[in-house]
Amino acid sequence: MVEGMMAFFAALGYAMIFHVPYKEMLYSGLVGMAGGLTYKLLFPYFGTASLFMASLIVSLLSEILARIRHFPTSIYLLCALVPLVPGGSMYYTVLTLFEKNYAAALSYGLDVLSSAVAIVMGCTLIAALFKMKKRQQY
Amino acid sequence: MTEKKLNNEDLALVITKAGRILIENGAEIWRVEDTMTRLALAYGADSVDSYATPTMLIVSFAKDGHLIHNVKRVRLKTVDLAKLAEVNALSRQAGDRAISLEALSVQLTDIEKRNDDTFLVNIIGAAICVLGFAFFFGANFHEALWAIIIAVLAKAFTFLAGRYVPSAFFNHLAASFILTFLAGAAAHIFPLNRDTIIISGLMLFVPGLAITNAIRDSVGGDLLSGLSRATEALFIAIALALGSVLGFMLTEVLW
Repeated sequence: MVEGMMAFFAALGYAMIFHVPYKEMLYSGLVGMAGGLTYKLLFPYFGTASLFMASLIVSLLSEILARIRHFPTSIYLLCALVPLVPGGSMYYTVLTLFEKNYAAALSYGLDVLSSAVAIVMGCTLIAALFKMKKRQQY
Repeated sequence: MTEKKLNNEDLALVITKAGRILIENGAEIWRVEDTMTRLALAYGADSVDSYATPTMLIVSFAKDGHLIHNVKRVRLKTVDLAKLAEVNALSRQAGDRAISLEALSVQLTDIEKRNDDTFLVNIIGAAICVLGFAFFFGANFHEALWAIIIAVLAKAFTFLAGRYVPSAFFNHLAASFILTFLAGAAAHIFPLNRDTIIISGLMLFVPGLAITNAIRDSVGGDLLSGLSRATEALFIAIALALGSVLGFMLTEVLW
C-alpha cells in the first residue's frame, strides 16, 4: 500500500525532469500514484494482468484530466506510465544472462515481455477509444 | 517594437517552427500535423496538407493563388512538456482567430529560445524520482539513500556529457555502467541489496517517453513514426543492458 503510494514521488520526479507546467505537476503525480496503487494492490490476485488494469486507469485518468484542464494528454500520461515499466524484470534478465543462468533469464525475459504487452494493451485500448473521432480532412 | 507585416512565405516558416517545437519536445505525430493544418487554415490558406515524422516536417498549402511549401529537418531532442502545452494553447488561440500572425511568430520564437532544461531541475527531479522508485521496489532507508546518491551522480554525468556527446546510446550506456558499478561498490562496502539500488536508478533512464509515443503514434495510424520511435526505445534498452553488463564485469574483476 505504502509502496504503491511511493509511485507518486516517482511520477512527480519525472514531471520535473520532463518540465511539466508547475500547476499540473501535482496531477501527474496523483495519476502516477493511482497507477502504482492499482498495480501493487491487485498484483497478489491477478499477477501480470494487474499491470494491464493499472495502465488502463492511468491512461483513462490522463485523458479525462487533459479534457478537463485543457492540456495535452502527454503531460500526465508520460510521467504516470513510467512507474509501471517492468524495470526489475529487465534488470534481472540481463543479470541472469550475465551469470549464464539461462533458465532464469528466459523466465524473467518472458515476464518483461508479458508485462510490456499488458501495459501496451491498456494504453492502446484507451487511446483508441478516445481517438474514435475521425481525423478531419481538408 | 514595430513588427513588419508577414507574407505567405513567412506563414509557412511560422507553421513549421510551431511543428518543430512540438516534435522536439515529445508530441504525438497527429498533434503536430493537426496543429500545422489548423494554423495554416486559421491564417487564410485554402487547402492544406501537412506531414510529420520524428525527423522531418512538411507543410504545403494554397493561398492567394500560390502554392507554398516548406520542409523542416528535426534533429534536436529535448523534452519540455511546458513548451508543448504552450504551443498547443497558442494554436487554440490561432484557431479562434484571437492572435495575429506577427504576435504568434514572436511568441513562438520566445518559446523556442527559452531553455528551462537546467542542471538543478534535472538533479532535484532525479532525486525525487529515485526516492519514489526505491520505496516502490521495497528498499529500506539506507538503500534508498545510496540509490539517490548514485542515481543523481549518473544523471549529472549524462546531463553534462549530453552537451558534448549528443548520442542517446552512449549516454545511456554510460549511465547504466556508472549505476551498476557504483552500486556494486556500495554493496561491497555496506551490507546492502545491490539489485534494488540499481533497479531504482535504472528506472530514471528507461525509454518511457519513446515507448508511450510509439504506442500512441501507432494507434493514431502513423505507423512509420510508431516504428521509428519503437526502434529508438529498443536501442536505448540495448544500451542500458550493455552498460550494466560492463558494470557487472568490472565489479567481478575488482571483487
